[in-house]
Formats: sequence, structure tokens, C-alpha cells
Amino acid sequence: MKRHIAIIEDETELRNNYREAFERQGYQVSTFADRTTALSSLEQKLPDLAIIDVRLGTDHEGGFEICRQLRQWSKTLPIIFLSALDSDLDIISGLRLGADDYLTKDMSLPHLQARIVALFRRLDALHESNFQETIIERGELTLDPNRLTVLWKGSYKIDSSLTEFWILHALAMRPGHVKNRQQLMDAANIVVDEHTVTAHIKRLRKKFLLADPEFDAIETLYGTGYRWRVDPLDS
Amino acid sequence: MRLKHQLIIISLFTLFIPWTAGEFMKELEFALRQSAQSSLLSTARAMAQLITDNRSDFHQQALQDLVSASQHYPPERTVFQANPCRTPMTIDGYADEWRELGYLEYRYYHHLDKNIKDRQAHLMFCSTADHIYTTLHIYDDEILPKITTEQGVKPYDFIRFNTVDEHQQSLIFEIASNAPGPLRIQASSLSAPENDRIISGFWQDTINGYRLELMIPKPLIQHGFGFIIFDADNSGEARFGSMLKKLPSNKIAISEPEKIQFSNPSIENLIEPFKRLRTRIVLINREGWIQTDTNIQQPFLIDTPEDPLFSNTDSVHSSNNAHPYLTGFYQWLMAESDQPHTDNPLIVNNQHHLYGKIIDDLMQGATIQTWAPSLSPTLFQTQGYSQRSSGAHIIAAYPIIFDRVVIGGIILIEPHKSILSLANQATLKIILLSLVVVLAILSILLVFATFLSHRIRQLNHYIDRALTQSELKPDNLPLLSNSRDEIGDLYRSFGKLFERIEQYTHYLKLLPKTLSHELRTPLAIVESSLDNLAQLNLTEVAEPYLQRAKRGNDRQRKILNTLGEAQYLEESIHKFETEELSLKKISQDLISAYQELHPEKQFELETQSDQGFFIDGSPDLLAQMLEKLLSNAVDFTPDTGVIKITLSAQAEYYSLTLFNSGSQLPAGFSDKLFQSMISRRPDDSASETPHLGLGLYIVKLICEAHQASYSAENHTQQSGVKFTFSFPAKTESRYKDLPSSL
Repeated sequence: MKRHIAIIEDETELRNNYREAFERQGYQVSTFADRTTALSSLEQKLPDLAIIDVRLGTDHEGGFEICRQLRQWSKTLPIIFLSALDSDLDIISGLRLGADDYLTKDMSLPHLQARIVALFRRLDALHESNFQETIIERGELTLDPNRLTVLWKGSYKIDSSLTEFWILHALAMRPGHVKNRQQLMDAANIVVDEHTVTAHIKRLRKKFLLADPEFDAIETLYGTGYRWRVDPLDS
Repeated sequence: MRLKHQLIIISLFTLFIPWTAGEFMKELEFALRQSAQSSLLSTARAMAQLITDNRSDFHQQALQDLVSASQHYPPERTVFQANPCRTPMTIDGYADEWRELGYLEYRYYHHLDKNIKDRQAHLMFCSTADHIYTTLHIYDDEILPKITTEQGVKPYDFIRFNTVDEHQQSLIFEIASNAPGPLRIQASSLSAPENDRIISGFWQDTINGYRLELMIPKPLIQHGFGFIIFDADNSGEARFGSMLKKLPSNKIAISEPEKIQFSNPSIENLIEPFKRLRTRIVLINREGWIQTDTNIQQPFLIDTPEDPLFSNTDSVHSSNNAHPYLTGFYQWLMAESDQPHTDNPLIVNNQHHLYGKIIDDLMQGATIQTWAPSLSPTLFQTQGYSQRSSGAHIIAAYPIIFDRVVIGGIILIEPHKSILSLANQATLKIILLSLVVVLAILSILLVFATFLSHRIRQLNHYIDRALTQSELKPDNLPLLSNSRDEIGDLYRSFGKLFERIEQYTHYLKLLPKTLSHELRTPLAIVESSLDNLAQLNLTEVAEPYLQRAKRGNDRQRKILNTLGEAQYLEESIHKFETEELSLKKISQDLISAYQELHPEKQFELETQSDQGFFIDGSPDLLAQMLEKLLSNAVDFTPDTGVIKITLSAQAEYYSLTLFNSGSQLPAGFSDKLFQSMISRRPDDSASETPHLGLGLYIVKLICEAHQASYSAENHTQQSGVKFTFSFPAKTESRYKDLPSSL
């Protein structure tokens, strides 16, 4: 059965571009231009994944409203924000509403498609629940690329977005090695400004610190990038 | 010049108010004196007419006496006048009784030189019924008494007195003395002593000569008189006296004895009817001799400090108890513009003889009206003596004409109460009051000026603040906002102007962000369309075009990102949370990162003290700032050039300097360098990454957010540019124990 993707986007041409690209990949795509039509239709039948533009015409916060509503209907439905707004505030608000990712519109289509694949894979992994040896352990950190889950010190589950997961993944794969922003952006498949990397790193650190106030594994090297601190116990 | 100083200078012009008042009073004074003078002259005219018109016998006799007193003498003959003695005279050689003025005084000078002080003589007369009293004061530095020795008589000082008696017989008395004391002198020309032909007298030495007091029987002197002083001295003998006259050949000849004349008390009757008037009335004969004077006790010459005879005479000084400075100010203010006539003064030869141009004019039949400051002898006397007066006298003179001949003159002298007088306390009070008022006005003006300039300064500060602050906060300035005057209007207009500018700036600031957002959607359409195209297995011919389109699109996106970056940064600057950060750690990280990227250039970090240089701030922002600076420096530094960061600690701040060798800043550029959209890069449109001149503007924003000062200048010694930043130091650091290699 074809996976169903809902695209809520006010720009007709962009909407059509996405729909055609996704349909070519074999997804079933339904598109909506505004909040009311989207919600009334989606209420009947939830999609497998939703791509939402934050600003829908004059309805500036329409995308956020749809996200909130969808999250009420389903806890697991993958939601991706796709927006022209790229400030920290927008990203953080979007993620706080329970979106799995926040991408800017200049993200290229292949990248977007790759993300959708990754999200579906996480969804599948949750359902299949088959642990494989792909799980990465770096000291106190456990990463599961299939389920896209992060575990710190065995007990703290860190709730990360897709972008955050890949950034963390890129850092933790090679502890002690410095990853610059561009590398991290490539790893996370985002094509926005470098400063959004900083925002993501900040959020990541906060999430870890919330779980463990002693956390200081992500080190900043100004001008170069970031690295996963080599754990003395691990080495 | 500051506004305040300008106002002080302008307010000084209010000092013209008392000056104007002073001028006004002077004018008033002048007018009053003029009218007083003319009314005094009318009085003089009336008196002169009354004197001649009174036909009573008694009066006619007095008039005849005046006519005879005005008998004309040859001009070369001196006429002595003896007035009645008013006190009993004692022949003792002392001048006590002479001290009361009113006796005639004559002065004689050395026949060759008037200025030889020790060869002078004073002569005074008064008369009783039988005798003429005279005192002679002779200046002589060395008195040689008459001493008869075996060898004969040595040169000695003596006086030769010549008289003509009632028989027209000339008598000669030689007055000499061997010691001070009483004298009895016989006429040397008489063979037999006659009691009524003896002059008795007294010789008294004084500090500067000697004094003779003589009592001469009236008949002995009645028809003529004269004296010659023989002053024997080591340097020879000098002669001077009344009977000597200078011949054109510069020789001295002995002249005829002088005429002596006695004043006639009957003349006094002429002015008897007017005596009760306050006015001093002086009647003179044709020659200027004072015939009668209603106020003889009051000399014309009040104070003669040089007069050795009466050196003890009390000086009359103008006395006022006002403050000396005030008096000085007052006198400056009231300085007379209208000076008395000093060019043709009324000259007093002595207390009884007036002469000079005024008297000459009077005797020609002219009328005189003038005035003199009190105490000022200029009108009456030639000796240099000037003292400021506190009042004035007005003088009017009218000739007395009898049988169409001028037989004398009447002179009226009246004190004129000057309104300018300091003694007039009311005037002083008014002046003082006006001064106080002027000072009060001055201080009120000053206070007002200060207030005004304070408000203007406030407005200026408000404008300054508005210009320097990036964000204009509404100022609470009640002095400006509550006022309805022009300054208040100006304040409000500026407020409106700034409001508009702010709106405009706000719009300008938002523009890039809005633009980048608005352009992002069409960009995304192009991007996604191109991606879709790429997935459609295009022909090889189409492929390069697709790639080019994608590259172009990429570039546009980068431009948009850069455009939004400053705005993004400004937002994040306002939101950033401060944490403790080490300038050293950030500099180290960045220096090593850049060294790796640009191995051909030389990166250096120099710390002038072994510490972490901790400040409060956002590490990300500071790193971003240093990145901007370093990438800027890399662009301008030639290969193998030096880029050096120096950290040094001052008292309360840390300074970070970044030097890069290479080209210098153009002149005047260092001020503009930190402004938005200012770039010193050559116009290089082919460059892959766009340069919008935002780099150093972002540096400036970050500095301002950290209360850091920033400046850029050309390095003085080496060719290159030096950026200097000063960050407020964090004094207490919880990391201070950590090793500095952190």
C-alpha cells in the first residue's frame, strides 16, 4: 500500500512541484492550500506523514495550528515543517509543538525525499522493534539510527528531532574529531545558514542538560566546529 | 562663545541705565545752574542800579568815596590798601592776630628769579585811627645780624623803609637787628629824634627767615611808602622789595615810593540794604580792589597749603561718609562735562585784589556770569591746586556805572546746592537704588539665561542621544515637553522627526528580512522545479543548462542569506544570554582554525598576562565577531603576511587588538568602516561570495551589545591595519584557578 503524504502549502506551484516529485517516488500525495480544508479532510483520514508550511497565505500561524491539531490526533504521525521563516524562534516553536523536523524551503528536493525516507524508517523500526547491531554506543551515549532514538547514561531518553539526531550522530561517530558546521549540515541533510547549526547544537545541549546537569560532552571549537569529547573512561 | 556668556555680555548693557540717569541729572544740573546764574545776574544788575540811583546824601557820599577809590593810578605804581584792623594788635613778632584773614597781603619776589624761595617776602597791612600795622615775613635761609666789630660792620640783613610824611618829606628807616626782640627805629635822615617819627616793632626769627611786625604812625606813611630788602649772604647781596623796578637794561632802579590807600568804611553803606541776603556781595573799585565784602571772613581762597604764614590753617576737605568705592563710582558717573571757565579765571592777588580777564571785561562794562566748584580755587587763584568739590558757587558780576563811567563792579557769589552733590544723600540713595535694581535685573537675566541655556543644552543632549543610540527611547524632559514656547516646539518637532526616522529605519531594517523571506518562496519554486526536472532523465543537451540554473539559484540564495544575516544577528544579539567566556580560549581556537585554513599566512596570539581574560557575553557572538575580523584580515593580508591578536589587561577592561599587515585604510575611512554597507574591497562582481559590507557592521553590533569600544586605525610603524577593542573585564572569575591553557 502506498504511503500517504499530506502537503499543506499555499503556494500552488511549490505544492505541485512537491506533489509530482513525491508521486514519482511512489507516494500517494494529497495537497491542501489552507488550514480549514486541510483539517476537515485530514480528520477523515490521517496521512502517514505531513509536510506543513508555517505561513498559509494570510493565516500566519496556520501551520502551527495544523501541527497542534494533528499531534492531538496522533502521537506518532511524522510532521515536517517546511517554511521560509528560518529564525531560531520559529524553529524552536515548531519543534516544541511536536514536529519531527523543521526545514527551510530552500532545502533541495532529493534531501527532502531522503528525510522522508528516514522518518518512515524510524516509524517502521518502532513497529518492528528488532534491535540490530547498527546501534552505536559511545561511552554513556547510545544511538539507534533505525529508531532514531538517543539514550544517555542508559536511562535518560533524549527526545531529538531528526536534524538533531543526525548532527549528534555525526559528532558521536568519531569522538574527538572536529566536525565543522558544513559537515554537520551535510550529515543532517540541511541546507540552511550555518547559524541554524548553532541553534540545533544549543537545543541538543539543553536537552542533555535537562536530563543530566553534568553534561558537557559536546565541545565548541570556535571558528572550527564541534566535537564529541573523548570520554576518559571510554578511551 | 557659549550662549550663557553671550547673555552675560548682553545683560551688561543694562549698566547704561544708571549712566543714562547720570547724564540726565547732569543735564538737569546744568539747566538749573544756568537759570540760577541768570537770576543772580539780574539781582546783580538790580543792585548796581540801586547803588547808583539812590540819591540820599548819605549814599551819595559813599558813592563819591567809591569814585575816589577808583582814582586811576599809573599802572607801574603799586597801590597798597590798608583795611581797618579788626582786632587789637600786639607788636610781638607773632602772626597770631594776622591769622584772622582780612588783612592785606602782598608778596614780593627776588628781582631776578621768582622761584628763589628764600628770597621772598610777604607784606600785610591793617590800619587803626593812628597807626598802620604791618608785618613783613622775609624768607631767608641765613640771617646775618648786624654786628659792629673793631674792623667795622660786616655785611648784614636789613630792610630799608622809605616813607613820605605829611610834609612831603622823605624819611628813611633802616631796620636791622643784632638779635630777635623789640625795635625802635628812628628815621636815619632826621638829625633829632622825634617821638612821633619813630617806628616801633619786633624782630622775630622764624624757621625759614624772619618776621618783622611794625607799628607806624599814620602821618609818617600816609603819602607814600616803600621798602627794599637787603639780603646779605655768603654769595653776595640781594635786594628786593616794593621800590625796586626792573629797567629794560636788566638793571634795577629805585622807584618812587608807593601810594598807600585806606579803605573807606562809608563805601560799605552802598551795599548795606542787601546785606541780609544769603548772597555774598563784593564791591570792587575800578582797579579790582575789594572795597567791601559782606563775607570777609570767608576767604575766596579757603585752603592754601603752600602759604607758610598760616600753615596751621585748618584745611577744609570735602567730607562725606559714603563708601570710597561708591564715591569713586559716583564721581566717574557724574564727571562734569561742563567745566568752569579756567582759561580766563578771576584771579585773586590776595584777599583784597581781584584781577584778570574777568575784571578787565567787567570794567569795560560787560556782565559776567560763571560758576566755580566749591573749594576749587581755580577761579580765584593761579596756584595749581585742584580738589574735587562737592558743590558749586555761581558768580555774577555787574559793572557800576556812574556818570557814564565804570567806577567799580558788584560781584555776587552764591552757593549753589548741586543736585549732583554726594552730600545730597537722596541723590546717592537714588543712584544706589538704581544700582540695586540693575543688579537685580542682571541676576534675573542671568538666572533666566542659565535656565534657557540649560533647556537648550537638554535639547542638544536629547538630539545627541537620539543620534548615537541605535534605538530611540522617549525621554522624559518636562522642561521641554511641558513648555509652550519655541524651544518646546523645537523639542516636539525633533521628537516627530526622530519618530519618522525611526519608523523609516525600522522599515529599512526589516526590509532585508522581509525581502529574504519573500524571495525564498519563489526561490524554492525554482529550486524544486529544477530538482523535478533533474529527476526526469533529461537529454545530455539539457543537462548543462540545468546545472547552470541550479548554480545561479544557489548564488541567489547565498545573497539572500547574507542579507538576512545582519537582521538575524541583531535579533539574536538582543536575545542572547550572557555567560562567562574566555577571550583567550576563543582567540586560541580561532587562531588555530585559521592557521589550518591558511597555512601560508602567519597567525599569532600574544597574551600580555597569564590569565583567561574572562568577560561576560555570548561566546557564539564573540566567536562570530572574531571570525568576521579574521576573515576580513585574511582577505587583506598578502601571503606570508602576519595576522596577530594581542590580549592585554587594563585596570577595568581587557583590550583585544588585531593587527594585520598589508594595505592601509584610506584617509578618513576609519570612521565609516563600522557602518553598514561600507566596503573597502575593490568592486569584484565576479566573486563567488557576495560582499555587502556587513562584516564590520556586525562586529560593531556585537561590540555594542558587549559594551565594548571599537576602533580601527592604520598601524604607525608597520604597514597594516590595527583594530582595537576594549571589553569590560569580569573581575571575579570562577575559572581563575584553571590553567591558562584552557
